Amino acid sequence: MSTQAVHPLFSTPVYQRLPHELPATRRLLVSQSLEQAAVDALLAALQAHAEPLQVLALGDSCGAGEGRELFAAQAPLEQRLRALLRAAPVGTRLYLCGDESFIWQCCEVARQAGLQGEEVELFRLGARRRLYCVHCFSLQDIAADAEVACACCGVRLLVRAHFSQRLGAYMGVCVDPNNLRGEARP
Amino acid sequence: MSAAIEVRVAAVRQLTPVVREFTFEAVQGQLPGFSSGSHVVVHMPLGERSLRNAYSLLGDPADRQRYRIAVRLQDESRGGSRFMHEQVKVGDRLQLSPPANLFAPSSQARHHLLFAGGIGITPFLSYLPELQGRAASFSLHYAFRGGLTDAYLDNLQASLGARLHSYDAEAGSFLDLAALLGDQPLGTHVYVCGPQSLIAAVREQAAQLGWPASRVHWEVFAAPEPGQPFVVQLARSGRAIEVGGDFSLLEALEQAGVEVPSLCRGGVCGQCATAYLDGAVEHRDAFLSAAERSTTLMPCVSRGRCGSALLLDL
Repeated sequence: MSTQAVHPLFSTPVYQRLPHELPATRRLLVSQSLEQAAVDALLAALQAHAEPLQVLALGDSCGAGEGRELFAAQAPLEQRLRALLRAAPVGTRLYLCGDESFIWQCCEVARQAGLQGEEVELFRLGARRRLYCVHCFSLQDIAADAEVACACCGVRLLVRAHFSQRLGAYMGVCVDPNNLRGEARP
Repeated sequence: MSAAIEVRVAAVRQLTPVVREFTFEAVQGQLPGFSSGSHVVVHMPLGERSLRNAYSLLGDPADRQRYRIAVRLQDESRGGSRFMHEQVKVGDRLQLSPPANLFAPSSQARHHLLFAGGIGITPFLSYLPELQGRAASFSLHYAFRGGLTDAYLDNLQASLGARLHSYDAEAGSFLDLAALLGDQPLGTHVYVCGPQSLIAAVREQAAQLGWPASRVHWEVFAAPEPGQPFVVQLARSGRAIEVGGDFSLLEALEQAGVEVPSLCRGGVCGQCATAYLDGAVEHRDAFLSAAERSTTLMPCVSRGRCGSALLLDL
């Protein structure tokens, strides 16, 4: 028997630790936070490039500065990102940093703006992620749990590694079809 | 490999001093349909050798009655373009390999930026009905030598208006690739067809400006460059075949009755990739990775070396 790790599913997202060394005419970092040490390493790597780096992040607006805009919530941040991308040329590279829930919502904005997979680089920080209930089609944020009750329909869900990039969510399927909501058997 | 189609030459038009257009119709039944960007391979009987050159289909893909191609007379022709220009007459019959497409417009693109150099305009002529039909956003940049390689310019000016940008080298007008590629909206795909120098310039400029390779599409139709003659051995049949300096390895194999599946015949599609077991190889393709090249070659463009027998796994 092989002792090698099972190869991850094709759909399982891969996250980077440091940005790729690729040419760009414009670089844009969107981060859920600017206060974690891991973000500093990313910022340092991106600031080493000649092109100016533009930063959008969630946080207290008093931390804003040259090339750095802070937003109190995700909705206005996404709105600003959408406006920036509308005017951006091909050659723009987008770096998304945060938990999976945050990253993939921004990723959808980028996709709608016309950015393709390799033009967007993803850096995961934090455990929050999205789960899609395949039974009632609802989305909810969860932590690293392997099993969770659907917040909408109550079915006990097994969190699969199967990830939908379009929904930005892992697939949650009924753990036990004979015992949908974990109630005691009659 | 699909069987060849027999066609009848229905019309011949001289478009410029060096560009001749041919219209083909089916001898029997209906011609296979094709999509925008497709090409056919024309089989040319040239005395003892048979050449096969690929040409873009430039008609409207919705027109199922005929194929049209345009052939530029090459100064250093190995005989193919000269044959088309000097021998082929209305009523003649020719064999074609059925259409294949290695240069289709992207369905994901928000905007299509087309660069044509001279006879490289041909694949885009089949793009235009599709792009116009679905009201897609596009612009065509056509560089040529006025009066010589400016085929279809008048038609394009009439049908495209401001979406056509023309650059006549004779009048000192040249493409500014850095400016054009530096200012395209997100979601743009760029397509280039023309001389190798134009393709290389577009690819290089795009890469420098941060365009991912998946947004850059190119097609080159050039006869394989001649090289030194060499000998190829076939491991399975034990045969030895001599490859002349102005034959490609693929042509020499075909000439000897060894059929290798092929599509583009220009080193880009990978269809003819063939394993080799021994010998030094001069790789000239744009398809195989460095690792693959240690065991595989593309006989449409790549060659063995003089004085080192090449052993193919055929």
